[in-house]
Amino acid sequence: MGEMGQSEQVNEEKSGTVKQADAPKPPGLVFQGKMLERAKAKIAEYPQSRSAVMPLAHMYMAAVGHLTDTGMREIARLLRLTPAEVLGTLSFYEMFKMAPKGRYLVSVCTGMPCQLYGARQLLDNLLEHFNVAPHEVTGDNMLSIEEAECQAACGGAPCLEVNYRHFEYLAPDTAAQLIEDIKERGLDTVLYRRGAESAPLPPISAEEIAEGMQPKLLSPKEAVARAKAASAVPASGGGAK
Amino acid sequence: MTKLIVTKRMMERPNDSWTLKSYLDSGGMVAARKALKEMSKKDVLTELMQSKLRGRGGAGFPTAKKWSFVGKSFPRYLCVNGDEAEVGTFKDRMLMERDPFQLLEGMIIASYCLEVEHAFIYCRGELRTAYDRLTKAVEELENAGYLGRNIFDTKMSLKVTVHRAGGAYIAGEETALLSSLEGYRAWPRLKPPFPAVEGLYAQPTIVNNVETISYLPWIMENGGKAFAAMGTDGSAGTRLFCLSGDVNRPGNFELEQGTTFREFVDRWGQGVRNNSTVKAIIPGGASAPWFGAEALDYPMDDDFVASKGSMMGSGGIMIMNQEADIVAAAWRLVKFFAVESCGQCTPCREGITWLSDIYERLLSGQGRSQDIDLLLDIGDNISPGLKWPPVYTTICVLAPSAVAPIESSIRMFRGDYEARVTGGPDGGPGGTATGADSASSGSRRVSLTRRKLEVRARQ
Amino acid sequence: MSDAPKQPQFKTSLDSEKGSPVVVRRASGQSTAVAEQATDLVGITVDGKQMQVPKGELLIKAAEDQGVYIPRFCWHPRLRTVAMCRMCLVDIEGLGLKPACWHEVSDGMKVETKTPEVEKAQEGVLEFLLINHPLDCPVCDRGGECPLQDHTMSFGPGESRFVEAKRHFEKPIPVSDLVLLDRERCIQCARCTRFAAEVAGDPLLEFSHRGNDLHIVTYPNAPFSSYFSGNVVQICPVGALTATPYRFKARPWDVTAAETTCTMCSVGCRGVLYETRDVPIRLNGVDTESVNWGWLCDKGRFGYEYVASDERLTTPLRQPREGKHVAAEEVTWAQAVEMICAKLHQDVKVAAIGGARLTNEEAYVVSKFMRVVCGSNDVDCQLDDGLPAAFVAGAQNRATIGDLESAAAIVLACPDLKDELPILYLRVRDAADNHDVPLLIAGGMQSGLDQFAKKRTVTADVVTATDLPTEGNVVLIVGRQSLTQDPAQLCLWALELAAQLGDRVKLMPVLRRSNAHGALDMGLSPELLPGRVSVDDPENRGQLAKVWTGKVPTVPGRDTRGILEAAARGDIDVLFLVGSDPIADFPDPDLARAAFEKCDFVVALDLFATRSTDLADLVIPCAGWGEVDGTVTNIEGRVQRVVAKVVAPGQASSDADLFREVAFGLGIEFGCQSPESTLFEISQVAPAYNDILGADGRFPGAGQGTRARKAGREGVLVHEAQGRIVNGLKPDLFAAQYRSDQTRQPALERVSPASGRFALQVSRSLYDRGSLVGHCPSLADLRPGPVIRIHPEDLARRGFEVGEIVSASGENWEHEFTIEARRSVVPGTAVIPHAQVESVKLLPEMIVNVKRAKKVN
Ligand SMILES: Cc1cc2nc3c(=O)[nH]c(=O)nc-3n(C[C@H](O)[C@H](O)[C@H](O)COP(=O)(O)O)c2cc1C
Ligand code: SF4
Ligand code: FES
Repeated sequence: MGEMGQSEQVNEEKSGTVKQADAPKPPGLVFQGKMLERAKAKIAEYPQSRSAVMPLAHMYMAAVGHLTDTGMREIARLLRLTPAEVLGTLSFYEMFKMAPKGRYLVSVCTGMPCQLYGARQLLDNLLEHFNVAPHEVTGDNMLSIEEAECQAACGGAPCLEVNYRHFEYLAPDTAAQLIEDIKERGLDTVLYRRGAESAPLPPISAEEIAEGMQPKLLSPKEAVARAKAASAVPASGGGAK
Repeated sequence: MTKLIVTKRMMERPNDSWTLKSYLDSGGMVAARKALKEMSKKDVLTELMQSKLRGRGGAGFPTAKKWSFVGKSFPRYLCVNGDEAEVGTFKDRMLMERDPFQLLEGMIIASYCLEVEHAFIYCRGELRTAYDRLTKAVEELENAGYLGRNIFDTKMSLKVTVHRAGGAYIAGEETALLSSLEGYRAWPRLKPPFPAVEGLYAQPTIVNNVETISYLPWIMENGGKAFAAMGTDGSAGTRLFCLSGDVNRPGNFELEQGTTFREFVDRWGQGVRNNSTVKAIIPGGASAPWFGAEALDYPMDDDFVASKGSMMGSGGIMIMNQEADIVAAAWRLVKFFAVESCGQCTPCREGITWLSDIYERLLSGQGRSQDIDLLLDIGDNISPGLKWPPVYTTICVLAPSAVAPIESSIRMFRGDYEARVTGGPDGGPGGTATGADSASSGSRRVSLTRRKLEVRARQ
Repeated sequence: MSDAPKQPQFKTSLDSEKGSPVVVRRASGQSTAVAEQATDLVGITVDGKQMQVPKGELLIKAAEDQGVYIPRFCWHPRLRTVAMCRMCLVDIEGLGLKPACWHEVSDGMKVETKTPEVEKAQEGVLEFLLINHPLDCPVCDRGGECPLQDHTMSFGPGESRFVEAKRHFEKPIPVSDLVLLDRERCIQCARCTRFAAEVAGDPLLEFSHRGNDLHIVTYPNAPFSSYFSGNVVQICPVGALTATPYRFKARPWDVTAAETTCTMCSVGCRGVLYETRDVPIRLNGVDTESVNWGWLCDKGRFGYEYVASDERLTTPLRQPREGKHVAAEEVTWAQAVEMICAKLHQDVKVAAIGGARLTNEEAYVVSKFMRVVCGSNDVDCQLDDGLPAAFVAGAQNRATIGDLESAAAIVLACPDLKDELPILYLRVRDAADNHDVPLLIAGGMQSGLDQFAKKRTVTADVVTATDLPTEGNVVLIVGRQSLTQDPAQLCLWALELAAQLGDRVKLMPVLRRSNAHGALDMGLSPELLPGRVSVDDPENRGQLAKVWTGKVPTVPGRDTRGILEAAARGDIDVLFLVGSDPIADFPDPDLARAAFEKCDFVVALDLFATRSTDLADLVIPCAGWGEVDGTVTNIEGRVQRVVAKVVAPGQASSDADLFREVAFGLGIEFGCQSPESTLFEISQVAPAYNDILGADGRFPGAGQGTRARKAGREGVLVHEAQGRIVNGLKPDLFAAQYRSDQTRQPALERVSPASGRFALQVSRSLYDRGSLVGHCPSLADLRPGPVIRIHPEDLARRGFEVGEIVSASGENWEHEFTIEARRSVVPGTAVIPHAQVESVKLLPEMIVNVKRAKKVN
């Protein structure tokens, strides 16, 4: 969709020159020209215009990096809402950041399965390595690191996302190097990420596939019958206590 | 005979299963063509009925039955629930990323049967690759004439909108999804009315999970009976089970329903990690009450698991071995629900955060002996009777879900909790917590505080 | 608009153009609408008690009406259910613990509200609510009357087990000029946000974030500047929202209260007036079915402030003309009466202007005094800024506010209701939004109602019956949209439309001034006698003749313009200004000045010094709202009580006292010794008011029994059939009597924004320059000041900029204004809020020239 491309471009111009202290200035009108056309097309996709509030916010963030005050007012105007409605709606969701963030937003999953694989430690290591607090931006404006909830990649725990691209099968002590590489070479060229391209496919052998993943020990129907027989509890509802 | 249904293509064509060419080369769109051209709407529903397909989003409601409730008025909408965010569940993401056309073909079939002309995929915002591929897939189908007007030269037209969400677990609850899709906060709605009668924009709407819909092409092509022949009586067909936690080979496995947990863990998961044994099993996502090792011989069957006081839910199976920190694990799940509560219902908004705070105190060595019973009693105020399926007094089932890990883990592993109680009975300052990662849970508290500060700073 | 802002879970409106249905669940007022079809009852059992309740009603309401109170925080009878607080959980057989605010009663339903499970759930919810509540009750305005406190007492746990850290927020932050928000006290019940979005239609208060971080916000620099902001303070179940005027003023146990009627405009909202130490400190809305549903606008809610103003007139003042009225001299009340008596010798010509501020009883006394004592019909309570009296009082088939929601259509040929009659605006909005009543907006500026308009025209007179549905009642709301609008022409159009619709029309003529409708009914009009009787109607005068002695002239007198013109010619000797300020309010201030100059003696009765009292020879300090007992009549013709709760300052007294004493001084038997006896007399002589009093002859609501109680709260509708303008309202007769200025070409045809020529519109804003608002410290600063409002495109055309000072001029006047851009203004027009500057002479269909002001540096 080119959104991310744009976002990087915009941030590229700023990086290096802008320190955190004088954070990037909010741009002027963002929804104009091509962007306005795209926004209007987006709105037209829905039976009711208000539905486009999140899509427009995504568009705005792709262009500017975060949601600014003027951004929310622009969205409000396009959708004929009050700015308070836009703020109230968008602040509900995790992804709409109202403060500037680094070029790379690193979201470290600390969900339960990842926690079993040391995600806590991984997060702490990252924060320490880059000397930054959660949700703050590093001095060079390159990174923000945040703690995230489950990223639907528990099979590849521990995992993280950089600008919402998955990197899986990490380890607490390898993550920092991954991020350093991304900082240096850019998101698209860093390839050591199993499943970054897509979901983790467990390394299932050709034989296993050929067998069609059929159960070997017990057929399902038999399993149910045996378990029922073994169980004192009747099979209809009821608590386990 | 292979029994792979929804993962067949991605297994056989791991490098390009998500392209249109690959899709069409491997039998794509045959089922949709058949349905639209050769089957009546009623035939489609009959096949579906015979397949005994149950929803894969969590509630396990028979899909054909749900469809039969659809309200009489028009327009009607179909919303595919791709907000996958239940801890331990990662199958929908794979289906959307690796086989987007299969999902879209399923949507064409469903829309035909339900007389829907505008369908939505509500795609979790963080799943960027999935969103990009779905968007591209829709574009390609439009260009190829599989979407739009007069599909397969029939009278049917269909528009599909891929909606990128903003990151909120609760948006996966079907009515919250509709609120969110309408551009509001993802607040679950009071029921009745149910979405099938009054859903998106107050019109009849069917909400189905990504996996549920992905089965449709196969069922239409091979017949509902063939599907029902697999699995068990109550849980027909195959299912995409997600395996995570302390096993040697975590991942998604499409298996016949009714396979035992033991086979799942030992054969497909290649055994428990670190040569340990199973301590706890969560059978169906974060919301499901836990089982102990005795459950290994249970079949992964909706009804059977329900009879044992838990649920197969979203099919996300998490394994904890003997080394796992039970209290920390339970806390992380509770914390998840605290962060993800939508905030409408008092017990959920106030109660779960309170529970999570107590856990944090326990983990940081400030536990009091009364805290364990306090956890249970607060839980009881949120989910009266601590039963499963829960008696829930809240708008949606998130609140009692948060209590499930607490109740079941205390019931089975009270000793682990008691080991955390290091302070005096009145909560005087205790010693250092025992247990694996007390140090990191300390720093966790720091980051939690920071997170709160950050949240406030955003105002 | 298709996406009218509202919470999705309760209502979703579909694009109206697409013709999709709009589904409404539990719209405001619905519960009572159900109650009225009392035929459909179902039997339910609550706590073992059998009860018959209206089918389809919410359990929480049905039970409450039958005496079983189910605790609640978020549910409010006039808001859509959200069931968020979960305080109202009850055990419904077959369903388990469920919120009573969401489930509707059905036949055979069995409910338990006091089982151990229910009690535990209630305790649990209260404990949850309290864990983050600051418990700063001793310094909280709500302390002592707080639902959270009360519920904790009745249903709560004895102790808290919470030892963690509470949620913290910065203590109160302003959400508007009048309302403060303390987010720590908030219990997230969504009442305020629902009110803002659903009822007021100003979705400026919203929830932000989610879960435990959920809190109320306004957008930065976009405060909740709604005309209805005060309501959220009243409905907040804790002390999270407080009103700046009331904050820290009193403790609930130090106040006394009485139900009364607001008179800041003519809608007649019911409220409870609280006073402490003889100072009014608060007005809260009372939920009446017929009028305000518990809401008040901010002007009404905070308007009590002027009552206790230091600037009230407290002594009669003699203002000698030699000293140019400046060297005022205090006199006693008795001296003042004497001075007036001395002027009222045999053939003196007397006129009176004003009276809309008075109660019905006071107005009746003035009316009777003028007719019986002075033999004059030269009385007028309007200042050429309203509608012809015959049209208002003579309209048959008057609409009530309650008719709005069941109408087939509403035609709005009236000023912006939000600015002039705010609660009527809410009711029209409700009808359109929740009952899908089509609106047809005929002329005027755009308002919040435009989003519901099925049709809108630039001027009223182009609307005809073909624009309206062919079946069902049509409510026709008619009022002056601008002081430059020709009222006769407007009424003529309305009468013609009414004639086309026949029986299906329900007319609602609207005058804004507080008791203008009552004053007309009491005969403060040159052509009407009390009870909507024409002065030349021999049949109905009969009733009067039994009580009124003296010669009541049978020819119509002069209206305000006529009086002032006559006075300026030297044709009037004594002029009473009864709470009126013609210099500020009459469209030609110079004429008023000339009239005062020529009059022999000008007596001004008022609460405050005004530009007109400054020019009077004698100023009488009056008692006003909150200080006099009586009744007032609203736009529907509903007679409601106002009560005296505090004592008027100094020698200030009811206007009626002065006129009665003057009559006494002249040796005339006058009667009307008390408000109650006056009302009794009114009911004897005024046909339309024959039914007002109960058999006991007391104020509505004063007596015993259901009728009295209902009359006390809902008022009594004037029996229109008994008072009739015999010849008044046939269009042709009306046209003959009221010449409309047809010679003037419509202003819109002569405009040229590019060269600065605009059609002038003078409309009122809620917070006007009137003396009352000016003396309310909390409201005075909200007045717009001298601004001129122009459509942004016109601004661009002329090259003006927002905020620029321009000079606007008409015939014989010129003033400076600040420019505001408003999309709501019709292109080609310039709008000046009424009475924000002195000496603007207004003519029908007038053009104003706007040019850049000379730079003063
Ligand atoms: C708190 C909560 C979260 C949910 N999240 C999801 C989700 O992420 N994905 C999903 O498909 N269903 C989710 N569901 C279930 C949906 O409400 C709904 O039952 C499902 O989408 C219906 O589809 P199905 O019939 O195909 O299973 C969730 C339910 C609850 C109560
Ligand atoms: S239970 Fe929790 S998540 Fe569900 S509606 Fe209530 S507050 Fe929201
Ligand atoms: S009053 Fe019913 S949930 Fe609040």
